[in-house]
Amino acid sequence: MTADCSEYTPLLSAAADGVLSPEEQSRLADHLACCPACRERYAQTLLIHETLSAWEAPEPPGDLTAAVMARIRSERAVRRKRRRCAAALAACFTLLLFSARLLPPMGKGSSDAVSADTGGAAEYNEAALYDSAAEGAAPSATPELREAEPKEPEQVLQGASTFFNAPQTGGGADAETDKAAADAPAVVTLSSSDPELLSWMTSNISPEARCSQDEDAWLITADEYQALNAHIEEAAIDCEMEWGSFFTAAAVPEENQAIEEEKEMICVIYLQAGEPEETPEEVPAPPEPEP
Amino acid sequence: MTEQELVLAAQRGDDAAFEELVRAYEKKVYHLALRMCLDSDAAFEVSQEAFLSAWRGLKFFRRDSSFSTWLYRLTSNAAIDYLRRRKRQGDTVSLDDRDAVPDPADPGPSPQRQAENRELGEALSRGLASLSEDHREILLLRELQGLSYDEIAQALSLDLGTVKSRIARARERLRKYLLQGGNFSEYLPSNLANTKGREG
Repeated sequence: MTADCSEYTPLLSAAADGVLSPEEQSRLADHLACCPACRERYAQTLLIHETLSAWEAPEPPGDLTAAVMARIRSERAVRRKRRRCAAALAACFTLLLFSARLLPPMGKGSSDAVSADTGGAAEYNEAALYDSAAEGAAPSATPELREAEPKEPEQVLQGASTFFNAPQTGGGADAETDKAAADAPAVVTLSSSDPELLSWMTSNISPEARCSQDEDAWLITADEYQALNAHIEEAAIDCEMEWGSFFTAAAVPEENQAIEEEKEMICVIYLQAGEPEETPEEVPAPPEPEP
Repeated sequence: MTEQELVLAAQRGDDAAFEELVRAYEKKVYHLALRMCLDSDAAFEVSQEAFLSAWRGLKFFRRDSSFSTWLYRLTSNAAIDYLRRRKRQGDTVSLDDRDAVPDPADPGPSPQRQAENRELGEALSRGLASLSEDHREILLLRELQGLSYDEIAQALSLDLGTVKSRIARARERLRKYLLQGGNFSEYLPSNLANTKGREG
């Protein structure tokens, strides 16, 4: 065998598979006719091919099909449970929104009225919700919240998140709502035309985290988010990432990202495959109240 | 039902159809996983993962490739993920630690030929284990699963030229491994006689 013989290696392999073109076949035949070393190489390559392709598949140790189907049933049960939880959460949230809309505007006047009249049941209860969330029930929290200007829908939603997230500190309304926003589940929307992203999600994100069979949306943990990020970087996937809050359905500032990435969090992710021209689907946040 | 009908039914949520597909492919998927992972417990686990990935990804399966090609790709991916996880944990399988990989079947009729094939099979098992993941993967898809070059290109997202050259390199490494182990000398002449017709 000479140095030139190495150029025949691909041909020897392709010949063993019987996929040579007529031109390649005649080139190889000419070479084999005058090169005993390559004739031997070909015979060895062919022997490897014939031996390997004759290997029979062994029986799996145990009932593989039964094991797979058992796991599918178990996954399906978890998915159903998750969906029921998500629906319950959505219903609670909608209810809270509805309650918030029934309240009078939270201006100075109403604040005074509440201070004077603790019998205002609806307002008192709402205040209690916020208060009970603050450790030590800082007395200033409720008045400060109420002294703010009438809330825009988005602000009301941020306030509502204090109910779910139970901030551990008292303090001003802004600090509280900021912390609540930071504690709220973040929403990250990924838009990409690279199907690899979708396929990675399907293969690597725990299937019970999928919101439904029909949506490319997952509730993911911080660890899963980090793994996703690492994969996006490693595989150089071209995608646009937009952050928002589950409670405001609005984009949140860049600096909030750091906070959200550090803590245990839940994200809802939307992916698009192959259709970059389409607008990303809306995040399944509850509907905002009409002005 | 044909395989295509079973896939369609499974895509519509018919678990019985999916179960039938799993049963049809369990041996091949397990074999691929076993040859990739070199450990029967890991192969059993990897096979389950591959089928579960298929079930989870059914809605994304576009049927522009065959179900088997897609399934083998998922198996191969699951096996490589497993091997990488194991490598990260500092756990590797030595070439002598592969009791779980069965000896290949002996298709030859005569006792002498059977003995030769058994020896060659064992040497090939060791040789395959010595290959890189990429080379082992592509050779197993070609030899064990019988995928065509086109199907392998599709399964591994490679171009046809890369498939050809990678298979050739994998075979060449395997050939050199066997040669260094002196595994060809004993039975090659008889096999040489049988393969003359393929030359050219």
